Amino acid sequence: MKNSNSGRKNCTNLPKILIKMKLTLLLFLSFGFVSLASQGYAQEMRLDINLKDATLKQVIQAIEQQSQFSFFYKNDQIDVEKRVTLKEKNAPIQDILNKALAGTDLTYTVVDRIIVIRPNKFPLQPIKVEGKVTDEQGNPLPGVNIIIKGTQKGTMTGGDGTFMLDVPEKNAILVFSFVGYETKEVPLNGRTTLNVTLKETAIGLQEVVTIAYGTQKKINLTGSVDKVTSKEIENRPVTQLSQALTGQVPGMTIMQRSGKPGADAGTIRIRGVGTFSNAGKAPMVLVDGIEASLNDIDPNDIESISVLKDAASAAIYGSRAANGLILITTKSGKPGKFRVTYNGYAGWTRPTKFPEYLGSADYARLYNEALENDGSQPMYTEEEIRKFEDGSDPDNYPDTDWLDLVFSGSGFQTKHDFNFSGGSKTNTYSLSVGYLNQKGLVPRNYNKRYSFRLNLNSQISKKLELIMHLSAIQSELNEPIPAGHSGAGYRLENIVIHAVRIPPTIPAKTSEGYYGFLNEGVPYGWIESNSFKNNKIIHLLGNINLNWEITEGLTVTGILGYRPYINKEHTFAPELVVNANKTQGPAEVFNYWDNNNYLTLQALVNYDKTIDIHHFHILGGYTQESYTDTWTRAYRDNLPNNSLNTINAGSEENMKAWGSGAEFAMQSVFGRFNYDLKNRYLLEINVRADGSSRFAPGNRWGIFPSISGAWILTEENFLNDIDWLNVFKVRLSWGVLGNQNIGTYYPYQSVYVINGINYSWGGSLIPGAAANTLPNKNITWETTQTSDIGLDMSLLDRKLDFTFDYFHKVTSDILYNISTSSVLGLTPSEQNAGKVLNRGIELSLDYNDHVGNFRYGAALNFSYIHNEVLEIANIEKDIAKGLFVGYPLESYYGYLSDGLFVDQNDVDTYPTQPYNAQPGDIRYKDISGPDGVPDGQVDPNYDRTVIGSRIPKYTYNGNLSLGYKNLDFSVQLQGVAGVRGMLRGYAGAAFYHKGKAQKWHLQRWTKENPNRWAPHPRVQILSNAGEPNLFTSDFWARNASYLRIKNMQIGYSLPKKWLSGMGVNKLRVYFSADNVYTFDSYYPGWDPEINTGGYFYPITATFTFGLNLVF
Amino acid sequence: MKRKNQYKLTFLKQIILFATGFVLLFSYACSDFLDKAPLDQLSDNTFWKNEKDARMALAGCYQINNGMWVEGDWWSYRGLLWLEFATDNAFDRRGIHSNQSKLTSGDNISTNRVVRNYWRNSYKKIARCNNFLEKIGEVNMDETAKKQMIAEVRFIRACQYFYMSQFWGDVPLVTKVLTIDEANNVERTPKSQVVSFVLSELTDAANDLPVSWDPSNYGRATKGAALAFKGRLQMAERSWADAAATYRSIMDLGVYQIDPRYEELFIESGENSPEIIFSNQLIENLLGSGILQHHYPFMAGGWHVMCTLGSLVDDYECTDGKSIQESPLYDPDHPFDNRDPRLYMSVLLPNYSTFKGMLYVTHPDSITAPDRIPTKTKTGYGLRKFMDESYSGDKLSYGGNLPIVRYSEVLLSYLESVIEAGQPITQDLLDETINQVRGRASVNLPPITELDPDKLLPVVRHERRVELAFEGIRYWDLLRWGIADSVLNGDFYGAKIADSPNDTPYQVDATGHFYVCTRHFRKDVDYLWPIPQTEIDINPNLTQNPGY
Repeated sequence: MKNSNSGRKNCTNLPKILIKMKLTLLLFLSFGFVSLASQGYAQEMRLDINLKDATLKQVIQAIEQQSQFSFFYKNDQIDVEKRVTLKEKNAPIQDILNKALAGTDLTYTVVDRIIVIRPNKFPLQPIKVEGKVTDEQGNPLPGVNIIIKGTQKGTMTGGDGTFMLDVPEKNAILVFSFVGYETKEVPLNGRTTLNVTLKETAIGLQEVVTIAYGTQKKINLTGSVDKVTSKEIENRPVTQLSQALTGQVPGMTIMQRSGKPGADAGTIRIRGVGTFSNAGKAPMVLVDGIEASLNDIDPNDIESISVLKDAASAAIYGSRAANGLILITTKSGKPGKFRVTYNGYAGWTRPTKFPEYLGSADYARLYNEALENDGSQPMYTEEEIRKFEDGSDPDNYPDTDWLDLVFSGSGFQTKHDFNFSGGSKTNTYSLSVGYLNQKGLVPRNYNKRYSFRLNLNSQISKKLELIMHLSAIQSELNEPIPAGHSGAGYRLENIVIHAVRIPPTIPAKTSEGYYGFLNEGVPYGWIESNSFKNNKIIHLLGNINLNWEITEGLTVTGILGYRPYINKEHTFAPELVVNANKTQGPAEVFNYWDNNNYLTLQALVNYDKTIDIHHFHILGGYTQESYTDTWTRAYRDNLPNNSLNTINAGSEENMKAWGSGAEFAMQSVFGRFNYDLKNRYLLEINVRADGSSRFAPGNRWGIFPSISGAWILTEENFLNDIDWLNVFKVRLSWGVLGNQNIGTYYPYQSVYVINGINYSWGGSLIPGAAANTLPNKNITWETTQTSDIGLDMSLLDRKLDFTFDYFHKVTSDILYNISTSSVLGLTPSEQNAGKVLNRGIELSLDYNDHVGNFRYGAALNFSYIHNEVLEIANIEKDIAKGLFVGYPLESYYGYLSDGLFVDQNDVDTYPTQPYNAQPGDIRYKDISGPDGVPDGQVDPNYDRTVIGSRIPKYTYNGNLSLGYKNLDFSVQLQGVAGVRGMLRGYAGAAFYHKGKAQKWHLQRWTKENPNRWAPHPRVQILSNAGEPNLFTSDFWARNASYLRIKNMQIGYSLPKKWLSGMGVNKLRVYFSADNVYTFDSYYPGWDPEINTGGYFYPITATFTFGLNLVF
Repeated sequence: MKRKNQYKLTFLKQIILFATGFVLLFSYACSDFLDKAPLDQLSDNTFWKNEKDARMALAGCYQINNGMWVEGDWWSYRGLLWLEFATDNAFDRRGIHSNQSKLTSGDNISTNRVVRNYWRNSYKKIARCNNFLEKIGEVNMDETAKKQMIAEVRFIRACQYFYMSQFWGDVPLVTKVLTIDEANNVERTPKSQVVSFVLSELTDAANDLPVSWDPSNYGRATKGAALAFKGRLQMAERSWADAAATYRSIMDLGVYQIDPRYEELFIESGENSPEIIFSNQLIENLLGSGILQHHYPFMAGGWHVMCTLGSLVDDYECTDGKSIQESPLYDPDHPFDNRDPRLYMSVLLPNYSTFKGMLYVTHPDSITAPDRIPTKTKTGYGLRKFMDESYSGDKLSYGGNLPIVRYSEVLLSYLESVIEAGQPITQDLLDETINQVRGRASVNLPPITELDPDKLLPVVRHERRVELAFEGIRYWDLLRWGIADSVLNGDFYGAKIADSPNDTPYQVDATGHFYVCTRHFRKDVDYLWPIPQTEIDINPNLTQNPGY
């Protein structure tokens, strides 16, 4: 080891002693701080040396035995056999070394515990070098680490990016490094002032990514990990992180099903949908190492996001990460000048697509046609239709655009974020505060969010580092709801579904002030009322990490994380006078209070060791997690009037209270072993054991191993000479993960529900109890096995990065709630019975370059996922749950349509339908029969098949960015394909259960125009009882593929010279548009991500003006 | 150098040892860290100990889906009363395609939601009953009370099978808590076996049940209730003599009598009448039903779901006891004058009835009338029975009990059984049965004196229709009498809106009655319901009834 002998090709031009330092630096960098030359240990350490005529080598050994000092030197440079005599007692190291080296041409440097001995050929007089480090835009970079190559001596830039350093030699080389930027070596060549520009790391292999319990250079990863940086999120004026992530990571599918403020997050699926159990399909999210949700974080506070896709990279989180892992690192402060940034925007939203309904005259005509088709009487006379048309009697013959009345909100939104950061060498801080006001498309519908975060890093002593993260987010979500005792529900979407249903022939409000209604639905009255459901949600998240570096390479970390969540809900459903005889009321008030607490304690041991060309890293850890939830709800009605809305204002007569609680706990022990040979052969092994309270004691523990390896081919001689190939790496991984997240439900225990099982005898309420579920004591872990083959390439001077992954993921023992014949009479508990396969490929391609002042970049990614159910208990299909062996999850199962019946002859000659068919009805294909061949009879048992799935097979994304001097422009295109969606109920067909009709319904089948391929069958007054024309079929389960212009943005950074006078470092203004346009062939007026029966909120497009400001 | 490494390794070992020790210590200290139990549910270990537990489980067996949106519980208003939509008594405002209307329109299919819900809710109750019967043995409690509870639960379970056998024929007869495998492979039991099971269960239950309960237990099943269901099944099985004997035994209990009131029997004020043999227990707000919201006319803020058909309105006699075709008291220009008082107490009549002080108007020309044809009522008539006019609370949660079996049904059934059994008909028999029913103070129709069984039978069937209108009996009657295919085929009409077809743009019959719908009851198909498709999807052993 002492002889750090030659042979490390890439190091031959460096002083050999650096070999170890380089590795140490990596470790130091990974902790986010740089060890500066410090005399701490050397000053305190006292040694006794008593050697007579010993060799220098013996002296060194003696020192090493007594202390933690390590020596570095090169055999051919110094004569270790030189004899010396030393007699020192309780002496500092410097004294000993001075004496030992006296009379030689050798000098030494003490850097912490490392002592370097080398020939003294540097002049003793240091040279002072000054300079400034900036980024490509000319902004000063504070906190850049500068080291004199070949030493550990160095400094750091200050808040204004400047530095000053004494160098021993005029031709020394300075190494500039900074997280997120490419490391640069600058030979001084005699200069004493230097201005250095650092290039941001392109999404490249040199960047450092956060992994489970640590960080790693991307080049050293053996698993499949994607990184998204703040740069890709920061300027996106989104209210939910998931919106900014959409399309950014290959293999990560995000579907947004609602645009309601506060509920507009997308559902995230990594590498397909792994399970059909209730154990969860969503990836695990960790914020600074603590399990949290995406709601616990303001997008603006994010430094970087790592998406861990395969089992190997997520394995250390064993049981929790079967669906992938999202690691979020928040911004921390950097030493240097106090720095203030401001990001803000304001803009407005509108629906991406909005259904268009028929006006009342057209509605009435079509309704008559429907009645006629049903053999009933027409409802509207010509005279009445004329009145609808001319609008002469708006009270009795109105033309109401209900959706327009409901979606009449401003959709204005604005967000302001401030960040204050800075610190000294030992203490840094980052404090941010943010405010979001997002007004909905519906009046009185908004989301106001206040966020606060404080991140502190403190180097308590040389050995002890304390990191603290503390964040608080309060969201206030407000929405109008239906009136009291209307029976319509207590959510905004309950208004929407009634607006979707109620015909235009009903007046919104008559001249007498009466509201129009259909059954319990009074959409306009509800909008005009002062109803509300108001949620104040507080997310708190705090964690403390204490790192203790016991000795070089050995660190012990203690982590405490606490995550309380409080949801205070206040719901007020006022009394609404609908008309003289109909009043919805009396007013109702609900208070709901939910509090859950998540507490985790973790202990980690890290050991890092390099022996020659072998590098080891060992991690061991223990975690325990506990979660408790309690909630209470209080209710009263009969409030004296609509101006009071607190609980006490209600009557005691009918007051009610509910409440309950739940808890679960987990314990885990885990270990990780990394081995890296010659920086080119990488190996990682993980094992984790998890215990969960959700299983019976005997089935509680699961063990989850993984192994992965990588080979960096470009480190080999045979690939070394290819100029255009900078990095070529192959990865292989295999691992097992568990899943058990079946809510707060206890399927292994036999329980009796006592809530809502009441009956009455003798006029009094009798509490009841009933066994509603069939327990299963045997359930245990659901497991996911993933294998992954990956390829990382960096080409053309690292301008082009390419990543490819093939994965094969099998989830077995799925905690499946088997669809049971209702003859059972009970809800069965989950069983371990099911298997799902996801396999696919992921590709990403990144190119960044510039020509003079013109910068350009393109990023493309694509993924294909084959999702297939391999096993469901011992059955072939579970129709109710959309599960079919051999087909994807979330499948639509139904008939294949073959257009519409054009006439009676068609009906008579076509295979017999499973219903009494009429011309204009859907022709269902006869695909099979009892003998496996078409039998001329369309039958639900033989002629239904899997039509398609709600899970997209293909997802793709393209980002294009252009920049010229201070101007930047980017566009993101995002799409999915191989997916189906369906509108049901009021949203789909015309006249469903007293519903109305959309404009596209006019292209129906009619007697006059018996179009076989009309997009809507003959109109009928449809019930909700299971109508033949509404049977699930490919007629309704339509292609929901789309290509979206997800984001377009143009920005301008004001030139420096304009700003310098104001003390501003950077000022950028931009215009951004999200969800600009969508290409699809879905139902006209409906966004292809919407699958609904009318209970929905449109997905929105957002147009904003924004500002980034740095002081 | 070697020694140095040793030192480090030892140090590492120490750390690992320390960490392991820490973990073990922690695990030991928190060995119950992973033991968590539900905080709001009873577990098997703590339940089934005493009479209180048994009482709770018993209430769970009775518990009925009263909720607004729950259909398919035989004893809820949506499950019971809405079967009228499948008859000549009423039309569902939601149209001929509505779930219940479809049962007899000729379009019933195996995916009909209400059929599935009846099936599902029946077996849910059966499972609770089976579980109760399997567990009650462990409970340490008074043996008499235990015996009565067991009888109640067997009664509830038998009633589910009674209804199921009537509408599906063969159904899986499940008498214990099944495993998932058993449930998914179960086969249909022949109807005859289901029937004999129900008869023997009801016989046993009747033996153990009390004749009546103390007031604090009012609403629990009684001997009379069990016998009433037994009689129903014997009638359906055409075991007429047995049926007559069963009904006679109810009459001999001496606790029931015909209430002079009629209107009040169906609302809160008369819910404890001695005429009520068994009823679904409701409490305003706490355990209420949405019956008023669904059926109140629009003018009173309801949804007017039940639209009475002309066929029923025309079946009410005139006050002289004669039909409208025969009675001189009938005036086609004033068709509602001089009619059986039960008409006024059962049906909302256009331009005649007042409700909550408002005149009920339905003529299509009366544009501003909330209940006008055809936009609201589909027949011109509404529902008056059950509609508690005095109620001013939450219409979604009304507390008046819902009658399931009334003594008047028992008397009429007894008479029908006697006739069908060929037993002698006497005036005394008529006076103690049908004449009691139609002679009650608030109805007061002339007594029946017809002693010829062949002529008396239609009279009894007519009386049954009128007396029990909207109570969910008619559909079953039409099926068991085997006349559904003739009664439920053809056009149905509502109220008169014009003098002749020429006077109105609407389709009317020759006398100007509004056309409502046409039914095509399929003789070979519609006497039985389809086994729900969702059940066959799961369990192919369940065969489908013919025609579906």
